[in-house]
Amino acid sequence: MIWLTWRQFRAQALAALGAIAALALLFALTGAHLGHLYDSSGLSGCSGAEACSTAKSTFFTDLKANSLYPVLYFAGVVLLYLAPAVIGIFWGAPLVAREVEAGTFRLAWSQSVTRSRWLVVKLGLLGLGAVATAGLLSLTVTWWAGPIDRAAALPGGGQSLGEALPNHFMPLIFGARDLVPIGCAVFAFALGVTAGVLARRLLPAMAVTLLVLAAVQVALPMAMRAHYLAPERTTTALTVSPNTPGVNLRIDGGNTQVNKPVDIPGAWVTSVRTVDAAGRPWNGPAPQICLSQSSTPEQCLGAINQLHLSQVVDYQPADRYWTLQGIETALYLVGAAALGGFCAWRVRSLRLN
Amino acid sequence: MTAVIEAHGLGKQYRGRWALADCTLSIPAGYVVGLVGPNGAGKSTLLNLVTGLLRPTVGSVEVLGGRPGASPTQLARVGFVAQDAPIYAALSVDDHLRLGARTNPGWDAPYAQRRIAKLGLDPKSRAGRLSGGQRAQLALTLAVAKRPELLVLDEPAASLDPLARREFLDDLADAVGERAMSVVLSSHLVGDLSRVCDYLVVLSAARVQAAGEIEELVADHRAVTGVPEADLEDLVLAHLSRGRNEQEAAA
Repeated sequence: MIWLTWRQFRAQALAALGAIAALALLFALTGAHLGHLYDSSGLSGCSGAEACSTAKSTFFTDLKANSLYPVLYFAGVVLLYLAPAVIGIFWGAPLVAREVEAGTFRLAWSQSVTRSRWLVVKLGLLGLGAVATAGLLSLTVTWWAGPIDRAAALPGGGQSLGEALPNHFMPLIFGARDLVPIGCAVFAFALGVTAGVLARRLLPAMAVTLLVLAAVQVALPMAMRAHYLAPERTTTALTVSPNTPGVNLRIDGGNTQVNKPVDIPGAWVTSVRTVDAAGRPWNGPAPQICLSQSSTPEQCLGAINQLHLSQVVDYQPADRYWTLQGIETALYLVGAAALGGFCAWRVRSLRLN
Repeated sequence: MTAVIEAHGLGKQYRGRWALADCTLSIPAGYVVGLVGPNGAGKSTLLNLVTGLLRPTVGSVEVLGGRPGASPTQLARVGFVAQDAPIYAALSVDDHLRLGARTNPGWDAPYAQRRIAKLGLDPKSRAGRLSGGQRAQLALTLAVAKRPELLVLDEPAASLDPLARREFLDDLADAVGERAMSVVLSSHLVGDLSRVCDYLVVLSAARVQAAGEIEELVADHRAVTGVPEADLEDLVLAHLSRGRNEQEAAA
């Protein structure tokens, strides 16, 4: 049975191996220089927000100077989101659906191997293949992006938006680092097999796999991940004054924004909001005096400070990165196990025509 | 002696329609059994129930005293060539023999090699390139080389031209002659059956119309109809038209 699985899967396995080797080579050739840029920018020894902030800016400018790095950075992310989809569609969906379409399950299931064992061996071996493929790809990309991820986690934000280094705890990047792609690939594989068992035809099974997987890949970071652990919360008073920079004030008709940049190194900030003295969300209107032509800026700032506004920030601190990686990977694996169990039960009573 | 197939009130329903109903059968060991009936009479359903690929909706079926497909041992005792002789198009003839060797404890490798050589099949050629007749032969080789006690063939010759058909059936007769196994073979062509079978089950309109040794059935038929030259074909036609009349009466 192991031989048969290997024989049927050989072409896909070799194709995957070839793709991994080519990608690993591409990333390996450029990765060394990325590490060199990190060292030469002074990031490795920096301490304190100010020194690190300067070093980060240097590093960022160096990165942007060669358009290859931004392209590879985002290509790595796209790759790790696509790989599970490819595994689900081309390894998972055909596993049962193609056998049913071609009628070959009648050949396979009339050898001296029960169909439960047939399925378990196939799920196990191809599942391991999914782990190896996603694992190697994730390892390559995570290693390559290591200098960027480390730099982003250092103190010293303060850069204007669009100039900040992307943090690997950010929703989009988090799913393309370390363990999560492995869990996702195993889940996608099990999802493909399940779609094949239910649809019993290859093309619909592939389409369903793609749609459901995309929905899960969007739903997990958007709706679930922030709730794995209760977020930490900091509240800081927003006192505006011409002498202390850092707090932004923006009056735009009835809408008024008072806030200050958040700098929590390496954290995933899930929510930033301005509240009034009673803790209610506040976004205006601005005090009347600010809109009057005759008043001075000082009078306006004084009136705003009278509101006793503060900024509430919810975030997952940097040291929870691995915990959240573990939780999300476990969720994917539990989902995959449930789908695998369903397939095993379903295949025992698969209808034939 | 245990019956090869023992069915009691066996029935299978698909989407509200009975593909096989109220089937009670006891087929003794050692025969080459012909299962005959028009298309859609339930032949494939019965054979898939016997091989354990389908589960009955009602009733029970025992094959060689065990539940079909329940265990590796039970699977090893039954060889099956499904309708249209499915094979893996991307795998070579050799790969198919290795598949058989790796998944069947009783695999008779010398027999399989000999048979492939005798058929003149190139072990290296992809099974998808074989003709319909060669496919059927490859599937038959796989099913016989696992050394089953019961060989089940579902319309094995249906897609073959008359010459390939005759060769296939002669080959089957040879293979059966070489080893002690019972065979159940379905067809909608009586000519196929009279060539190799010595036991007959007539299936029509999802029901068993007749079952027994061919010689006895023909003798009975001659006695009942009073036509001394009535042959197997007349007998089958008589049962099939009876099945159709019953169906029309019921509808």
